[in-house]
Amino acid sequence: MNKLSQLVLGLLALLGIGSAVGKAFIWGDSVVNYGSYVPWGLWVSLYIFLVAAAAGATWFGFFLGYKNNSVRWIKLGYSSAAISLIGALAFIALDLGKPMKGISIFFSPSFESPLAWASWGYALFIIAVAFMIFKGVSSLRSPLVYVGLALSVLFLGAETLFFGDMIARPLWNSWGSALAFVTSAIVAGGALIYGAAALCAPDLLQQAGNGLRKSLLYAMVLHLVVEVGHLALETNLPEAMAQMTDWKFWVLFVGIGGVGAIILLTKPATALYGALLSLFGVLVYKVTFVTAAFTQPDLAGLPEAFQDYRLSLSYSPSILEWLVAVGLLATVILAISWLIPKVLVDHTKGSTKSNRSVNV
Amino acid sequence: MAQDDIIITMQKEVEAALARPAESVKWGMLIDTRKCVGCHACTIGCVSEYKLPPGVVYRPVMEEETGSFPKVKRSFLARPCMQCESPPCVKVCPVGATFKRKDGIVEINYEKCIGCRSCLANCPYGARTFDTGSYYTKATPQLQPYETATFYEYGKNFSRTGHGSAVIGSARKCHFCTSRIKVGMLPVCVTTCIGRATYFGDLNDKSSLINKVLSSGKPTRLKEHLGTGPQVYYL
Repeated sequence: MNKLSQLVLGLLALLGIGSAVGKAFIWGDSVVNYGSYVPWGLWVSLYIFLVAAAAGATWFGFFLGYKNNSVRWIKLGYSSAAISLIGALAFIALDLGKPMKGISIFFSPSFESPLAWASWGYALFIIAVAFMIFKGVSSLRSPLVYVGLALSVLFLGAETLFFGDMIARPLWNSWGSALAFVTSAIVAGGALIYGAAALCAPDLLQQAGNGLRKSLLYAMVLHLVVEVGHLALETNLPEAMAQMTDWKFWVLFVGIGGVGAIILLTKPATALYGALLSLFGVLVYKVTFVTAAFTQPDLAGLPEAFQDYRLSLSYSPSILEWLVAVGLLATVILAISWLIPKVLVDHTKGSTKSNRSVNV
Repeated sequence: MAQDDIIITMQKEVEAALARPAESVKWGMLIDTRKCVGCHACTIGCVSEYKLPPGVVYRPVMEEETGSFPKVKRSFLARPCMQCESPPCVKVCPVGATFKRKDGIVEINYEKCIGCRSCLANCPYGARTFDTGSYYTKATPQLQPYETATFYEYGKNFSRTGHGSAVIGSARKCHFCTSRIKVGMLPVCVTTCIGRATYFGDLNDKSSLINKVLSSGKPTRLKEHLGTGPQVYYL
């Protein structure tokens, strides 16, 4: 990554982290726009986006590692996943009404809630990857590889169940949404690993027949079919119609992040841009997925019954929410560019593996 | 002999129920929409009792206008927490901060609540709201005492001022005035109702007034198809 990019990302990261500290310790929820009838917004969307990317990056890392007989793919995938997951945890911790109390989910969890399972999955996965990095992984059949894979299935499965079991949100409470959680994870993970490889290990991308481009292309097609198909089958739901009539869904997700990404992925020369667009598309999909579920009143006349801006159904992120979103995403990108080359350094004697990144 | 006001009758029943084991009592509510005049006294009585801040409301009253001139009708629906038999809010709480008590009331432990708002997302009735720490008189020279005074919920005294208030950043909801019931009083919404439209009592006590009124009509419950088992009935 060139110096200018690092500088810009660094400044955004500082701004974002500073805003996050302000929200957590000084201003509280007075600086955010989510409330009671729209309890979740931009940060929860980014949390589920990064969790999806983490799960998918793990699966792609495992798949490509075996396909290409390369531990470096596994290290790339799992490390990217861990960094993405840490970013996700930062978003969700900050979103809490009491950010400092979030740690209690590990000390007094209620395992009746899938969210507790997911949280433990996240933590154990990060610990497993830390072990992989510090202990070193030399074989595809290392137990830590399988432990990480199992934990990624656990945390994404638990998160899918958490959203899918919400009877109050008919848009989420469906098999289509559950399937879309899996397909979006595959796309986001493949795109994440593509971007990380371009930044930190371009030699992996240059390996002929590595399988990443085509797999991501097929995954993108599958996800588009699943998501559009799911909504088309739920047109009786006002929330589904809200998502389908949202311009962001069609223009940014289906158009630019879907069809545009697929076209670019068909050619190796433009595949990286296709991967980045597909990542953007999944991010937009997650935002519309979360916000559409809160577009209808739980009971007719409820928002009008007692007036307050936090008791309405209109939501748009505040300036601080945007600053934190952009800043923490910049931090994730910087962390990937700084940490993954160190993880991928090949300590084998005589190795000539290069970790020079492309100029982005 | 003059008959007791139903408020007196229900208060006596609450006192009698308190003498029984908690697990044998199932508190419930019946709202007679034929009597409700939409005055919102219950809403405001509750706001006043618990010093509810902006963005938090325990018992809003929804209005609906039906028909066309000259046969227009307005109806009102007060909506407290349903205190569901199978509360979806309890299932999603990752730290067990919300739970169903033996007497049927769904309680929130503010000290345990981390403010994730999963319970808000999974309440089909919109009964839960989120305390963001705001005040109605925030932009004025001084916060007013009616906003900063302490209040009782779940048998404890809470304050919203000072560092580390357990209530700020928590989910909040109607709790059938647990602190008032504990000392033999009726919920605020029941006593402030000018139309005597709200009934409260032990649903397990077949001789209670609430059960008598329930059996006199065809009561309904909100969103029964979801299987939540709400303990608030409507006539």
